[in-house]
Amino acid sequence: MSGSKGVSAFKHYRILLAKDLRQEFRSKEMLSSMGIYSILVLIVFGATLAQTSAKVDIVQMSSGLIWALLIFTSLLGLNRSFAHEKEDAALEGLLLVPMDRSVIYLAKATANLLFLVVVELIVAPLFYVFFLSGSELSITLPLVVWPLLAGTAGIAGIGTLLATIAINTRGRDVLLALLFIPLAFPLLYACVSATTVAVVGGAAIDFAYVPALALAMGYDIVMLLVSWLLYDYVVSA
Amino acid sequence: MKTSVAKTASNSIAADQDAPAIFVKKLSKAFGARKALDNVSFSLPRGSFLTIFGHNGAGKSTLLRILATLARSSGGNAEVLGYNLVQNPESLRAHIGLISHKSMLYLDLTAEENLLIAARLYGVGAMNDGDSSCADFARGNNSDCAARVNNLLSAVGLTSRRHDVVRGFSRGMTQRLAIARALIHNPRLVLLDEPYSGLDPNAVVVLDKLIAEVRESDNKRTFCMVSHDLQKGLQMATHVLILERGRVALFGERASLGDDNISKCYYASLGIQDDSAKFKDIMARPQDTPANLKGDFARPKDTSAKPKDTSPQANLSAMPNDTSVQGNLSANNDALARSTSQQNQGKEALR
Repeated sequence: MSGSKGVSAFKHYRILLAKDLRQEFRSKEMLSSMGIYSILVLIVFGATLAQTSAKVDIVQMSSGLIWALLIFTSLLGLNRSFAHEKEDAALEGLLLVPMDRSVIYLAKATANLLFLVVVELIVAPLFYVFFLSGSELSITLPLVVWPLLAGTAGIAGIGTLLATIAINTRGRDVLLALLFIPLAFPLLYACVSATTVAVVGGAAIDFAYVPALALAMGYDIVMLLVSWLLYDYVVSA
Repeated sequence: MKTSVAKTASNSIAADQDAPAIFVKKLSKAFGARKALDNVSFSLPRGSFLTIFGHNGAGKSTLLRILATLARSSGGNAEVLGYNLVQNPESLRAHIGLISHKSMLYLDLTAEENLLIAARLYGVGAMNDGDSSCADFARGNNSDCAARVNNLLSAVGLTSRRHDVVRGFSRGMTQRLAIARALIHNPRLVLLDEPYSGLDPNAVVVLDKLIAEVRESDNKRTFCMVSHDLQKGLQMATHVLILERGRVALFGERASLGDDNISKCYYASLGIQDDSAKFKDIMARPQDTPANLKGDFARPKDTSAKPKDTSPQANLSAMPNDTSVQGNLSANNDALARSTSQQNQGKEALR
């Protein structure tokens, strides 16, 4: 689909994504707040679980902990992701451009995905040092990457749509969490299951890992498509 | 009119070039039980300057947002530049520029980056240079895009601040950049939503001059401005629309309506007694102009930019540069005081 004369939807997408990245790398608002917050949560987790004696419990809990960390960190980031658009009505400027409005969603979701991946690249090694230093990295890492990617894509996808809905409301921080956590619950459940199986290992990998990962990916596909289709309506309402 | 409605009804994407700039029939907009617009109908010819007056909550900004395709109507029919708002909003957006009291700019990006992003999104230069060169224009490879951005930065006097982030700009500078952004794609309809709000007298003069030049550059370009400033609104208007509680209280050509009619309807819409003497007093007050704003307003052109595009639409290069605007600000405290006093008098007159 082409909106402006001679400008394809893909070109619009590239322009908007580059704009979001440039803004973030200049202001560093999202990355710094998410990065600092996630490290602080890691420290809190470390302190609260320091007295746990049975090592195996920590390993089993660790996938739940990392997903709790990622969910709350992403909520913080998603709330900020539309701050630039809201400020001085910049989003209205975009809505005036003759283009498919779903492109705005796709660019923003991609930017959010990239920022979350950057934060995960910082947090994941620290998390390994704190909680999983006993497990074998060469076996765990390839299995953990897929649920992490699927979960992050889903969080960015559905989170971007919900952040757009919440941006013009008074209690947007609370509203985003209220909308996001119930809606993302199937994804969270699937990702925690797949990550736990990957971290703990054993026979469960053969029969539990793939179904959990498939559920996460199926959720991603459905929700991303629904978000893409609904975005024009949401942003125009 | 009926012909143009019929044409768009038949899903014609191409706009009727002879259609009025704005054709609105029984347009309504409701927020819950409250009607912001109620059966609004009017037709505005191309090349006109429509000023919309009305009390707070009369539906002025709602009407403008619907015309800009930023809001959906609840009922009725509207065509802008021959495009039906419901059927062809995307085609219409290519021809609309909106100047609001909010800048719609990214404050953490520079002035130049804001204009470049807008130019790329609107495909400025894409027709001449092709897709690939437009993608490269941010690196200076697209002559049309770069020239357009240079011209507009020069026109609004911000060439020397092109690499500064917008967050550090004054209100007047931000508004001038917002105007440049709104005009980047050379729109055929310019919508202005209280563009003067919060501007100091110098910035008002700069904005006046810029609007005048944009009007002169294309006599088919249509303007639609929401304003609370009676004097400025009427000075510019060829047509006047007064809204009262979402309904059209008065619409017509400014010349044929006459000052008495406008005065009577304007004050009635505000819910205060008609006072023709005050109306005449407001209209007779001198406007801030380069001449009566003492100081060196007749400043040199911004010579740091070298516009390549010399077309009438793009050649808005006669505007003062930003450094002289800043200088003028400090040199014109008396003008500021006088203007503030005038504004206060105007408010008193309206009470």
